[in-house]
Order: sequence, then C-alpha cells, then structure tokens
Amino acid sequence: MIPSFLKEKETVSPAKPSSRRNFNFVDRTAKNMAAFLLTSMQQWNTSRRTGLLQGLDARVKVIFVLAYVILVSLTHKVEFQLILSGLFFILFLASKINPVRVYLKIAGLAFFFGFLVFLPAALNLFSPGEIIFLFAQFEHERKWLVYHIPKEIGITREGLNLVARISLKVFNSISLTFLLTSTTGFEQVVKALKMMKVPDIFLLTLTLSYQYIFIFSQTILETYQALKMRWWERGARAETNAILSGRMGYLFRKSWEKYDQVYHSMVARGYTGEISLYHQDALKMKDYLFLFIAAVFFAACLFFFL
Amino acid sequence: MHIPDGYLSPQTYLPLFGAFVAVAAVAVKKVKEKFDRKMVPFLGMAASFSFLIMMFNIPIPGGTTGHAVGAAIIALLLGPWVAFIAVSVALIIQALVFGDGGITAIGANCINMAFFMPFTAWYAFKWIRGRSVSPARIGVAVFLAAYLSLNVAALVTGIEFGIQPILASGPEGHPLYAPYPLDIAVPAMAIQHLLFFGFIEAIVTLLIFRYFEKNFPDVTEVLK
Repeated sequence: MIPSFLKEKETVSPAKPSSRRNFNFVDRTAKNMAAFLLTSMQQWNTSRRTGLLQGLDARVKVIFVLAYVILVSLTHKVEFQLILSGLFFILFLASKINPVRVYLKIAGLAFFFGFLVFLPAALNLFSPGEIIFLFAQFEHERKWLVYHIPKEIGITREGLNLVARISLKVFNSISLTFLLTSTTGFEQVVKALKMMKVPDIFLLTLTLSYQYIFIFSQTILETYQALKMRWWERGARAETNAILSGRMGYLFRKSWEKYDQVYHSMVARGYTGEISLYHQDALKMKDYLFLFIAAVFFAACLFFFL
Repeated sequence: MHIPDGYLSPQTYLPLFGAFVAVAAVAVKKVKEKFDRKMVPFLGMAASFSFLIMMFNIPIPGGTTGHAVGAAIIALLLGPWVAFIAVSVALIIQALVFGDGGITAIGANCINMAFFMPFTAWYAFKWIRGRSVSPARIGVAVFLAAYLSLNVAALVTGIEFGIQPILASGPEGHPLYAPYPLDIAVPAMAIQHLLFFGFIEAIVTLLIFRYFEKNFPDVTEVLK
C-alpha cells in the first residue's frame, strides 16, 4: 500500500536545469555545512600525524599560541613580522602539514581581512608622508563636512609600510590559529583551556555544542542535498520562506530532542550537576624544552624589536 | 563583524576581555538559577543552534544570498542571558576552528555580538511591542529589534576601530593598529549595516520568529 504522503501533490515545481541562481542559497547553506565538516575532519587528520607540534602537550601549544599572538600584536616592525612568518612556516613543515593547502587558506583570509581592508590606509588621506604614487591632483585643498581632502592624493611610503605591517600581523595571527588547530584536536584544546582556569561548566558546554554541531551539520547537509535532488525551484517568496524557516524550526526541534536525551543519559550515568573535567597528565621533557626555546625567542624578540 | 587579530590594541582587547569574563560570570549565574542541573546540556544545545543559524543562507532580492548573525533570534527565543553564552560559545568555536575572528579579539567579538546584540534585541522588542498581542505589531517589533540590534553592534565595533589611532600611535604619529579614525570607521561600519546587513538580520529573524510563534509558542521566551 502506498503511504498517503507519497500520493500528495508536490507544492513545488521542478526547476529548469539552467536556473543555477535559484539554488544559490541552497548551495551556499550546504557548502557552509560541508566546509565545517571538511575543515574539522582535516584538522582531526593532521592533528594525528607524528610531527613536532603534534607530539607536544596541548597546554604547551595553547600557551605558545597565546604568547605569540600577543607578541605579534605588540611588535610593529615589518622585518620582525617577516621573521615570525618564517618561524611559523618552519613549524608547519616540522609538523608535516601540507604548506600549500594551509597557506592558501591563510593567505585568502589575510588578503580579505588584512590587505583589502587596510589598502586605502596607504593613501596620504590616512598616512601623511612622501607620495610615491600619485593618483589625483586638484587645484586646491577641499573640505567636506568633517573630511579634509588634500591637493594631491596618492600612496605614501609610510602608508605602504602601515598596510604591510598590519596585513602581516593579520597573516601571522591567522597562521598561529591554524598551527594550533592543525596540530591539536578540539578536545585537546578544551583540555588545555582547563589549565587556563576556564570554568568546567563553560568547557563542558563548549564540548557538547561542538559535538551537537557535528551531528546537526550532517543532518542539514542531507536535508539540503535532498532539497536540491528534487530540483526544487524557488517559487513564490512566501513559499521559499516557509520552507527555509521550516528547516530552521526542524533543526531547533532536533536540537531540543537531543538536549533532552543527553540530559537524561547524563543523569543515568550519575550526573548531579557537579562537573569535574579531565585528569591532567604531567608535562614531558620535550614539552619543557619547547617552552624554554619559545620563551628565549620571545624574550629576544621583545628585547630587539619592541 | 568578526574582528580578526591585529585590528585592536592591547588597551582595547584586554579591557574588553575582562568585560566578557565579568558578563559571562553573571550570565552563568542567571542561567543556573533557572535551569540548575539541566543548564549544561541546554546551553550546549543553544550554542550549537546559534552556530548553525549563522550558516543558513536566505535568498535576497537581486539574486544574491545572505546570512544572519543570529544573536537577535536566539535572544528572543531563549532569553538574552542564554543568548550571551550561546553566541559566545559559537564565536569561540568559529575562532578556534575556522580562524573566523581573532584570538585576542574574542572578548571584543563576544561583547559586540553576544552582549550588545541580544540585549538590544530583547529590550527593543519589549519596548516596541508594549502590551500589544496584535501579530502585526509583534512582527514589526521583531523586525525592528533585530535591525536595531545589528546596527548597535556595528556601531560599537566601528567605535572600537575608530579609537585605535587615538589609543595607539607610533612615535611619528602613525597608527599601530586599525588605522581609520572615528569619522571614517563609524560611518563605514554604520552605513553598510543600516542599508544592507541590518535588513538581512531583520528578515531572517522575523522568518524564524514567525515559525516558532506558530509551532513552538511555549519556548518563545520573549512572549512569556
């Protein structure tokens, strides 16, 4: 016997194969979910290789990354930022991370969030100084509202230095984040955060939500793939909106059910509301050695470049 | 809206991180009072929902698509304190997994998007709705609350960028961090959110809110 829902008339009509634009939002949502799953899987894979950083305790890596992110932020010389870029590159190689793949990602992020955002700051409007590339010349200076427009507009030497410095800072900071995530599993990062006195309640929430995200990303990805497989076409806006909000509502319902199940399984395992996470292992000799070298380099950088 | 590393000076990111820790302590206390033992699994659920809501793209007139920050809808559905923790956890995961938002800027990002957005949305909704039960008035309140909340967060972010040249400059007066002054940074952040992103946030929030109002009226915190 055919179930009644299979006999129902479709409320959506098939799309023409050429109407790619109709799938934009379906594609992008599915792509976002797939990107999360793929990134997490790649990080999980690379964090299990036998490289330099993978062999270290997660606490050492978290301390290293935090200290060096602050170092990157505190020092303002282009040469120094280049030295750090070189150091991080060596660490990627020593940790057996494919440099092409990881640097494509880092460069993309640094280009958009560093270079492009700060490029206008190379103009003498923001960075007064010696103009090395003239764009425009007016007869006299102008004033518009609170803005002052000089007689000449162009890129200055000081401006270029500023853009290079800030872009490199963004590049190095992103490199550090990727060094940590490519060599350390998420659960290890959480474990290391405990050492930073982050409350257990926060860490458990972080761990649970990360696991939920995995489960639900998969669910959403499958839902959207099914939607696309049926050549679903964007029809009336109200219909599109109803389907989209329905997917989000479905996600909420699934999340709520999962929350209830997780709570009951926690209670069944003796959860009383008190949380105590993880036993901490002692640091090994190689951890102390890495920390010592990193600390000496850190101190030298502060001495010579601050 | 996610501030990367390198934009903010230590004079900015350290106090904002302190503010984040202080607000987080209050938020945990407030949520614990209500949920007690169920708090952790509940917050885990809320944080994952908050993270995933940011990944949903919706079609926008003109052929493109956009997504919301989601802090306004989480605040209206689950309350502003839950939203603070949920959105903060989502932002931390984004920073640690995707490199989306900086490590030094975690405090600033959480204050901008997990504090200002949910609380603005919550109080704006309450104020605009008043005691009305009219669906049209509630719809307008949701739309404006979400629109305002994103714009307040954008304004605060613009101010944080704009004060960098004042707070940290080199010996020759050149900025060391975000180089644009207040009269550039604030309009740049405000205009794009007032004209474009604010409407996306408002449309997405209204869409989801309408669905919940119809299908899960019991869990919609702001209507209780």
